[in-house]
Amino acid sequence: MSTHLSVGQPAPRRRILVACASCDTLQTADIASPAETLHCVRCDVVVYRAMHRAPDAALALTVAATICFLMGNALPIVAIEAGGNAANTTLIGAAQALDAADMRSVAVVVLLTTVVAPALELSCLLALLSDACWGGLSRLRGALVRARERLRPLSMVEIFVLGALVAIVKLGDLAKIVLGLGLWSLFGFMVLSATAAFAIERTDLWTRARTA
Amino acid sequence: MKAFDSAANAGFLRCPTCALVSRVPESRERDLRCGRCGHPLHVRKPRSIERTSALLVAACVLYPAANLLPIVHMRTVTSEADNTIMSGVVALADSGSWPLAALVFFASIFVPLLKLAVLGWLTLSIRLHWRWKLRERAALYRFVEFIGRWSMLDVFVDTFTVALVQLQPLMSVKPGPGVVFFAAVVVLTMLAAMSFDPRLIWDAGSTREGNHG
Repeated sequence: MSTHLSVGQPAPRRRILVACASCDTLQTADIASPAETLHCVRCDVVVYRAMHRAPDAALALTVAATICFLMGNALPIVAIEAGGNAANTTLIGAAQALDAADMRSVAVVVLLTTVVAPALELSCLLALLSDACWGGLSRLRGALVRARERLRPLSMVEIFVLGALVAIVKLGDLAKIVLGLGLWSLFGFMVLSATAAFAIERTDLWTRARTA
Repeated sequence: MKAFDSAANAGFLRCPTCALVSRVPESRERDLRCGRCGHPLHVRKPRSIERTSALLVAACVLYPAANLLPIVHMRTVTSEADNTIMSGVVALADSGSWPLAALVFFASIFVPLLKLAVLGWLTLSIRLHWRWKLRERAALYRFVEFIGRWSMLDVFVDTFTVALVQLQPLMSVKPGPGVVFFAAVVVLTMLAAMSFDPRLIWDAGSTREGNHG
């Protein structure tokens, strides 16, 4: 089904009722306006965002981010050399080292925030975006979006990468440090997942989803 | 001043997941769910002030231990030293990495303190029904909520140092008990920020005389 707009016919103006997430002020948003975002009349927080992106680009970015994430988990992040001794570590290896040093609780937090939460969030996104592209999962849509919102603040790969860089500078005086492919992959994951999140915010996952 | 009506006062609810605004049914059912995405709906986050206060108190109790106990124990052939969060910052500054020292100071010392102070103050201001500086207080909450997760930086730096520096017998690094408390403070303040409902700040401002309930 497609809608043809004839020349000269005014676009239908539609106003929807929105409530601000920050101050709860009830207001109407003119969603036919050309503005990308509409701001709250009271506190200026974004209350409406135009969601006109097709899900295809977001799906492609998420797939690329997933590949980078898998590589970032499998490959060593950095290697260290000092006095003829050499060692390297992966993401999971770092958590294991904490566990080996009797810090299981912290190891669990590190594993949860750098491996489990991002992996689950990526799974939710892949399912949601494939649903938006080809349909088939409409019954799970709400649960997937909710799970993703819960997981988002727990996924801390970008903080981990910054922490790794700080540690590398700290240890730079003591030993020779070689950046591994894993760190570059995680860096790629950071950039790709942020770009994907930007695209997803502008994709309507609720009403535009096609049914196969 | 222009009067604004909140969705709650007008009998509407906003879904936190999909942003759909729906009318509160007359029947006053207990378990409301969003018609579009199925998210449980509440006019305000349930027991927001109580939960936030409890989590903040817990974080305050653990905060001294997080800062005073060593977070890493470093041993080399010639020396042995315990490092706390602050001594780690000082060591970075001494080695000439001023920008990094500033970054770690900001993430590990300034942000946790700011979170405890701001969330505590906001909770108190809501209990006291302040109508003062609504916009600024709401902006402060958004800033604290956004910046809070970056406090985990120190935990990751330590994880990484411990994992990497296992060059026996030359030098080795072990995590200290401080890191457990520090991670707990970060997690507790994150949970406190999540359970805090910023709309409560504005409720004091939109409650006009004779228009309550």
